[in-house]
Amino acid sequence: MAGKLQLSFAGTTALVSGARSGIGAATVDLLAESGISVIALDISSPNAVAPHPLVRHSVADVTDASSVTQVLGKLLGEGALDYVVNCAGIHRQGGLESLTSEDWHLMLDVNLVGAALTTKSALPWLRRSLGAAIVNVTSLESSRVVALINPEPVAHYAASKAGLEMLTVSMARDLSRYGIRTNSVAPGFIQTPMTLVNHAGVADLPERAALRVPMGRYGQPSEVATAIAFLLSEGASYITGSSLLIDGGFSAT
Amino acid sequence: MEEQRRRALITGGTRGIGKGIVEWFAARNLDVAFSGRDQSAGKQVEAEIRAEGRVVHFIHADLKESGSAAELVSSAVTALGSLDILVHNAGIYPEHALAEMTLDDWHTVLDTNLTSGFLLAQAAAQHLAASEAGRIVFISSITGPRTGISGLAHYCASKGGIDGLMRALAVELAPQGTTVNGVAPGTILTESLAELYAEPGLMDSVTRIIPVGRMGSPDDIAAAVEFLSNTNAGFITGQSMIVDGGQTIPEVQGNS
Repeated sequence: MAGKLQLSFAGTTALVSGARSGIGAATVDLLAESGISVIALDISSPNAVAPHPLVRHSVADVTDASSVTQVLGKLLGEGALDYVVNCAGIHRQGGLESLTSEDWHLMLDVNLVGAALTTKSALPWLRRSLGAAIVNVTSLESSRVVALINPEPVAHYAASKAGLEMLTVSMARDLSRYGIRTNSVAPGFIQTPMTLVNHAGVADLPERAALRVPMGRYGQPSEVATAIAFLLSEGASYITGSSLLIDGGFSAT
Repeated sequence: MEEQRRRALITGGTRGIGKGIVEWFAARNLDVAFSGRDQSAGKQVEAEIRAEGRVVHFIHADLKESGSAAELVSSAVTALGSLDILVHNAGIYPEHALAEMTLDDWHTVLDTNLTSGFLLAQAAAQHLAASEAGRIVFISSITGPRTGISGLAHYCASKGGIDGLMRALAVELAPQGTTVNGVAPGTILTESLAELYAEPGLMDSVTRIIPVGRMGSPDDIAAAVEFLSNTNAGFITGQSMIVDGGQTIPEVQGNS
């Protein structure tokens, strides 16, 4: 289509966590289509997908830094890594009164600590790149209370994503010494398996929620992937420490 | 079938960031109309870009004059045939200390930077509604929305106002499929800034506080505007994208 953003990334390598479904999977597809060699990381084995010559699937747990290091060592050796997309994340229901200590630790471990440790593990390889960039996938819920299903806002998820926003800014400042840029995208209601599992159980919720979005619909994973690709690209070389909400205008209402 | 080329109007395109956006868009095969107050500079930019075989039209306009915004949009639509993208970049930043700032000074800055944005959007909205993917991008600033600079109260207010205008229009124009966003540049090295920083050592002292280690270029802003204008950016609206090399990352350093 005319007016579609064209980006060029030939010869570069990216690590995408949470690569098996939703936004992560769409990001893997788009980056590979753009010519990037992609290491698609997930805690579970990939579905039987048609193999793309530029995509290598690997199993690792982002809460276990050594498993990420192991994958990178095996696949990259002494080579460079240009991009990291921290997309691994979980969502669970539960308000403050019902959440246990275990609920809190699991949520923060995966969504927040996981991104920090994945990035730390990748750092030796990122430092060999000439133009490295990181994108953290946060959420509308990092800055807005969303309570679509239960009356109680989902405290631990929101807190984990708010933490990831500030981690992004801190990393942007910290890693600028190596010429590494760090930004975040904050998706609103996106039509992913995670959202649909949460929203589909509730009668007509997707329709009602879409009415609250000025654009009148849920976003597609590919629309978030496009923003991630732009923030990784050369065109975004003056953007670091920024956050971009992709929510169809929801946060402006 | 030949693909429909996207058509853009860019205000304040004779120099600096605006000129960078005009050149960037033209180089990517968009048809461009751009405005400016400086007739000879505008004609020169137009000639340079046409020499490369691109479609570009310079339209002389001073946006603080009443009626000029509507007239500009109308001329642009006549020249281009239709309109897909409006980029409001025109802006001025004269310095006035609060004690000396006259009401005229205030109005001149607010009229040029902010009120023109309202009038341009009002005139362009119906044309953007007819596009398969209408886009408005306001060039805002980190100065005002994020930080304040002494002597620029009117400028800071105008750019804060631009962000409010942007969010309201994002909600109002969403039903017609038009997105409305902002790009907030940090310190961008333009001709006028180079003059401001002519004093030896001043440029280095500014660059030192920017985490990416350099000042921005008009191209950095143009790339962000292009991203927000592309047809795949239809779920991004009401957002201000900060393009500042990390300059406004809040920090306190003990050793600086």
